[in-house]
Amino acid sequence: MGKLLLSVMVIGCLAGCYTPHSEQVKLQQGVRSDSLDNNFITRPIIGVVSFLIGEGIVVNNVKEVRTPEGFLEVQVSGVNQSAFKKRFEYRTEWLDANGLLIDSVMSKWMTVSVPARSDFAFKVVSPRADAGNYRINTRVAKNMDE
Amino acid sequence: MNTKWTIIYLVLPVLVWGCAPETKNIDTQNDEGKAVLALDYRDFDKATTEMVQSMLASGVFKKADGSRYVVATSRVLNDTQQRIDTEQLTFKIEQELMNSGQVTMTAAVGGKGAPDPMVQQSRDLRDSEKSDEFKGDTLPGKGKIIAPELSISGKIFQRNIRYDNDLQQIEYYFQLRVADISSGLVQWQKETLIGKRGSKKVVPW
Repeated sequence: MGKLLLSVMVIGCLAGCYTPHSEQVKLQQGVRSDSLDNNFITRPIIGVVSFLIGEGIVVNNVKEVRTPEGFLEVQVSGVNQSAFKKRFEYRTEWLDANGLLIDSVMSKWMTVSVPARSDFAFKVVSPRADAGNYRINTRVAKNMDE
Repeated sequence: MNTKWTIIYLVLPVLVWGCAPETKNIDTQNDEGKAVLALDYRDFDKATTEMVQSMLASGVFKKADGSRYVVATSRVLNDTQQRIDTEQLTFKIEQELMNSGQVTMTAAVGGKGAPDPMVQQSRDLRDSEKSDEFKGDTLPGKGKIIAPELSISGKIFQRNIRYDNDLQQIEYYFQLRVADISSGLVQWQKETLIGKRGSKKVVPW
């Protein structure tokens, strides 16, 4: 039993060592070479752990710029920490300088799909130039084909 | 015998009525209802949002002198198998563009449904014998209509694809462009795809 386990671990280790060349280029499993910490033996365990600890989307940067026309453009970027693809919807509500809600067709639920352990970004543009603030809400995307 | 049938006639409608699904209003702000194969209001909302965001971010409506462009909605063709009033798309886009403060829409000319017939009708009236019935300076004068500078046109079309033995894939393409009327040059254009997969047995219209 001990030898079998050792053999499996050795095979797993020999599956290959992968070091990412670039932060910008993300190679998913099945595309990239296996690594010591991510191979056909460890992947199911990583998946189970990821599910159990509830890994998901993390937003790590929100960038705001004014377009030359005065519209507020917001880019939300983050990462899917989960070992599984994550889909979510977001809705942006825009507020004017007095904090009053701007009535807009553009305050609708929009879908984002992020592969496992990958970065994402989405952009929203204010409906009016006098938009001074915003609120972005999210929910799990449903009714999506696998 | 008569009593039996009377009871059946009285009870049956109650049972049938009791089994009918209850009618409910859609929570259009947070609708989590099932997707449908045909185009529904959620699809139009998504397409509109993508189109308007792209238009506003592109700066196509920024005029050098700071004034507003006069924009007309030209023809938006429905090339799907559904009876769609394309104003479901264009009306929202016009509304959002006007609210943005970037453009003024014209109701004098345009594609199907876009022009207000009263603009022409009041001029016909001015040139008719009935004009005597109206106070002269309340009738529209000649040379008052502002011609559009930009035009929005486009198409919604559908492709049905056999996905496998049980499923069909339906692709809806929303295509819009903004053209400069004086030069004919296209200033902006975008295509938005909404794809659906569902039972082959369902007819998507």
